[in-house]
Amino acid sequence: METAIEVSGVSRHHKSTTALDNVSVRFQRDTIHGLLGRNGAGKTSLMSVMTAHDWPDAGDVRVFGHRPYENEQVLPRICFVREDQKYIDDAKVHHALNAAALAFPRWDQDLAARLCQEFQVPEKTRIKKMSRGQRSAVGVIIGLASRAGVTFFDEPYMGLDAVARQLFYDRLIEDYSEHPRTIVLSSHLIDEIAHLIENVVLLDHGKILLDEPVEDLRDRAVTLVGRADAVEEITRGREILHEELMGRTTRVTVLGALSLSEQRRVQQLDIDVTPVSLQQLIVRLTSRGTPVSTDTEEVAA
Amino acid sequence: MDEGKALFLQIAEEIESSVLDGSLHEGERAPSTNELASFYRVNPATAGKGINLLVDQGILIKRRGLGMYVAEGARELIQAERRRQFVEGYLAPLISEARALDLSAERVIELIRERAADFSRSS
Amino acid sequence: MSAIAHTETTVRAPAPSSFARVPAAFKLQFTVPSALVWIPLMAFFGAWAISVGVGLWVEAAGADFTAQSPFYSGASQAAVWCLLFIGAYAASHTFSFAMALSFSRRVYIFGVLLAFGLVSVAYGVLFGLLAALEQATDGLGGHFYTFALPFLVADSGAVGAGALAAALCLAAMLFGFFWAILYRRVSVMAVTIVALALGVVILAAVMLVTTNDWWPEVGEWVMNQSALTGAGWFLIPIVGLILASYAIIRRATP
Repeated sequence: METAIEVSGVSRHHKSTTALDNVSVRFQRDTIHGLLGRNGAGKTSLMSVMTAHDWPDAGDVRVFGHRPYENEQVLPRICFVREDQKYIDDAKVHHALNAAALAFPRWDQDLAARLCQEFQVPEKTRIKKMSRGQRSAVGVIIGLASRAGVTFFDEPYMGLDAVARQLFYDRLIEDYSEHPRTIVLSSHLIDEIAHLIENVVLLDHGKILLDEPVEDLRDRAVTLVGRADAVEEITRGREILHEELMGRTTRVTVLGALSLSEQRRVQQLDIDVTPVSLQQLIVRLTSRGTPVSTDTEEVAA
Repeated sequence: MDEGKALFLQIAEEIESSVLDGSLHEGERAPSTNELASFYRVNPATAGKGINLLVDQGILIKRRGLGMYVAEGARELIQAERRRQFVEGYLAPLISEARALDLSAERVIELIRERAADFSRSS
Repeated sequence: MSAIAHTETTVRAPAPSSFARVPAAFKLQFTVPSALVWIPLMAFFGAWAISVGVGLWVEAAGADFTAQSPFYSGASQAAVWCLLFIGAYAASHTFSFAMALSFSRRVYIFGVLLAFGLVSVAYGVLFGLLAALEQATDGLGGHFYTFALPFLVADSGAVGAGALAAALCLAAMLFGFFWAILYRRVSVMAVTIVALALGVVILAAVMLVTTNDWWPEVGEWVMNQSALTGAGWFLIPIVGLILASYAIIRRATP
């Protein structure tokens, strides 16, 4: 498959902090990617250098083969509405949409109007007077209606209720099906988007921790629940992502799928095996480096 | 949807079930990738994978420019495959649970007969 | 456009001009028409009305304005100060959104310059027309002059007044724009340092002139400028501010 965005050896430092540390990653064309990671992992920094909002200190970025920085050959095919996007202070929604219509060559005004109705965005209200959710909806509408070849959604759900978020996911899948394009979706609500994305790019401390099709991540880890000694027999030698003990029963999440013989052994030992959801896997993978918290804290969180 | 099974498999099974229960007839147009993606709210690539699986198994056939159609004989194919899976998927857990409850095989068969009679009377 | 032209692959074929979106960036500045159109117009006519009102009031109080002792008002520059503020407003309020619309910084600043240029020309034309009106009517029949001030119309009449007004307006807008863009790029501390440095340079120049007793020469030079050459001299800060703003904005982040 063709590559839409190619990031090679990109580093970005802000004063004393390193936002991106020698990052190399490719985003396949006409695919929905999930860009995941904890706050401060470098998601927005990566999106900024890919869209020429910012530039790398080292390394190279190519979008459809072009360097995007100050490059009008490719910039009109990129849309990145930031999570904390500032709009023109006194602008109303229809002002912002008219400006976007002129900026994006593939803009669909009918779609924008329909989305405004569906998200119940008041077109005559000044954007700065709007609620957080309404402003997020404006960003979502611009992102979808731009039909840009690469479209970024940076935590587009902020302030949106469950109904509006579902509406966004539905319209995204619908419009993407009819007009395939490269979409990069950054989100902390991983369970909500797990079925929408085809590929996961996981950032941690400015580095790529994972870059894989969602389908391949299904067997990446399993959770075993059973008697501690029995579970220990299976988990011995595997990397343990998480462990909880209650009396003699233990719950352990380990990396790697079970072999056929292990699956049989697990049945004999009366161990329950449950698959690990994408969200659980990401949480486990990205909390590895941090000091191990006690279980009570984790329950509270 | 169920986390335990690959999504594309679940989608393929949903289509198979529609053919089995008669809501989708042989020779009829099957839902398109985009329709499935919108309905199940999944990535179209995932839906496409489910459809391709059914095409490989001869349950769906692709007609260029027209879309996906349920193949003649699809229902029989699905039934044959599901019968094969029946032992592994339904009988094995039944037997292991019966053993844990000290139910003999004879007693289990008796229970099945009773239940089946109830079932056919009510339907 | 044919049906297939809507797919990404075919859009790619002809390379779009690097300046194709300059008109869009220009219109972005007028997204909210109040900023660059209505507010300056209100300041312009508001200040004029007030100055004419003051003239009438002073006259009613007993003063008598004649061709020998007319009433001159400085209110015409009110709109310039307003536009200085608007220039800063444009920079700080449209840049972030322009980035979301994926304009290159070059296209964005071209749009800004075109918009500022248009506003300045409009301001100059309006100024010149009103100066001509004042000349033709002997200060609206009462020797009130707001636009046709002697040093503005002395050499080239209303045209000179308009040209100088336009140049001053453009310089003022760019001046406001420059500081706002600088503020986006660097900290308040750095902006203060730049402002202080600029102050030091001006102070040094003043001291240089004073210690060498050059003030008569400077005064003479200023007196010798006509409205048109004055407008010409404004081109230096205008070009300087454009280059400085672009250099800063090239590395500004939303």
